[in-house]
Amino acid sequence: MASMALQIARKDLLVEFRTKRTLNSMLLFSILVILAFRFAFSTTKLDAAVVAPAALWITFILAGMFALSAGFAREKDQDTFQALLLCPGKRSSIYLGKMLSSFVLIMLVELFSLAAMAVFFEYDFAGPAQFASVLVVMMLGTLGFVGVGTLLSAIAMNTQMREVMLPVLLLPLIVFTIIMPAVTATSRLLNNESILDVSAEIRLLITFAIVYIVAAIMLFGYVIEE
Amino acid sequence: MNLATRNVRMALFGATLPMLLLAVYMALVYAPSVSVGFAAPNAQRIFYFHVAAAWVSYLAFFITAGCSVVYLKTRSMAFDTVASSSAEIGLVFCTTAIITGAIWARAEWGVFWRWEDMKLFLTLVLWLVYMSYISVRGMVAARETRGRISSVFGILGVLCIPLSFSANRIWAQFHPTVIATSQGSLQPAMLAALMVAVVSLSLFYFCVLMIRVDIENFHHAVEELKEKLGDEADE
Repeated sequence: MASMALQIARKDLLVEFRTKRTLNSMLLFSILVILAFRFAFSTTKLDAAVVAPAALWITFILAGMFALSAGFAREKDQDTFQALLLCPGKRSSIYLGKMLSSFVLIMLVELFSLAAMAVFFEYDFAGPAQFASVLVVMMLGTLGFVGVGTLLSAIAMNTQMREVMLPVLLLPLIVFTIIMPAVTATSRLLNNESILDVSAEIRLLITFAIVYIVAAIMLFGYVIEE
Repeated sequence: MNLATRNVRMALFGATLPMLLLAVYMALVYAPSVSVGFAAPNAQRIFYFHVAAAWVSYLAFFITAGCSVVYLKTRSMAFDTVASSSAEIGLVFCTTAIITGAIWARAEWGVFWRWEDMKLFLTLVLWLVYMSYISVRGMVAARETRGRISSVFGILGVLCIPLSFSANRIWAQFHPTVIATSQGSLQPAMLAALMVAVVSLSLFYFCVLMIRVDIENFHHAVEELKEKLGDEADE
């Protein structure tokens, strides 16, 4: 199961990096959202540690949805989904592969957005320890996000107006389980608290990442049967 | 509909109406006012229907999840019909719980809503999840796909909510926990009024569920007849 998932993830990333269509639009989009936040605060006082965590996670979630919907939309549009279903092995390895490739893409965009935030919001990281802590929170939050997002993207693919349905399905499920703890943790870390002070939020992120991924592995087969 | 199920229905409908009237009487007249610890002693009478509506909405969503699991296993359309009907009714009760809660909060706290209270926040999230459930059903034309897709989403929603409720303790909470607190539990008369309200609204839920399932079945029967007519016209 793991090797097939890795193969699918590798294939997806290869296809993506040949054209870089999704990646480029995600990067452009994320810098636009960060700049929009910056412009919105251009005439009022900007406290980076207050605004940045919310701005960052809104950017991550909105840009991330491009990667999530592109993963399945490409297979559907180019009629390659049937071939994917014919692959020997478990159906859930398709889910794991798609999840992995989205995770890599979204993490790249998140690193870029974080740098853009530091530049435009003029935020100075205190040191490598603080940067690494923020990175840990970002990775855990993103893991839960792609965990449930990949399943919901497969659901949305079966509906009319799939671009609208993905956020409609995804946001209610992640607003408390991912966005709340991730924004709280990021905000406290940017206020120079240590990673040990946010252990409750980190536990919550880990719990929901596991719950979503396990549930998705069990349910994915029902979503894609033809 | 055979005679036995019809009799059961008549008995259920017949029991529900007097129970609802009794619940109103007990909440408004029979139950004592509480003056200790509350700013608005009579406003808390809304609590009997607030708690009962919240309870019925949880019941309805769990029935949705249960029927979704059975549907995925058996692929019997009857379970899909019950799951979607129950979700719609649960959404109405959830809305009732949120509105009654907001009315009470205005009298007691002076504000309609407290964003920092996780119990309120999560109930709103629950409401949003089932709004999405209803809207995804409207976006799939094929009946079998619709059942599959919405079942998966219904299970995911019910999975995430109880976990969220148990995880929310790390943040602040203002919503009163009334069944058992450090100040003691409810007075017997209030507990009786609450129980009657819960039972009567649960009975009411089952009445509405039966009617909603009937409507859905009629709807599909009409669709099938239309298809048949269409086929004959083509020939």
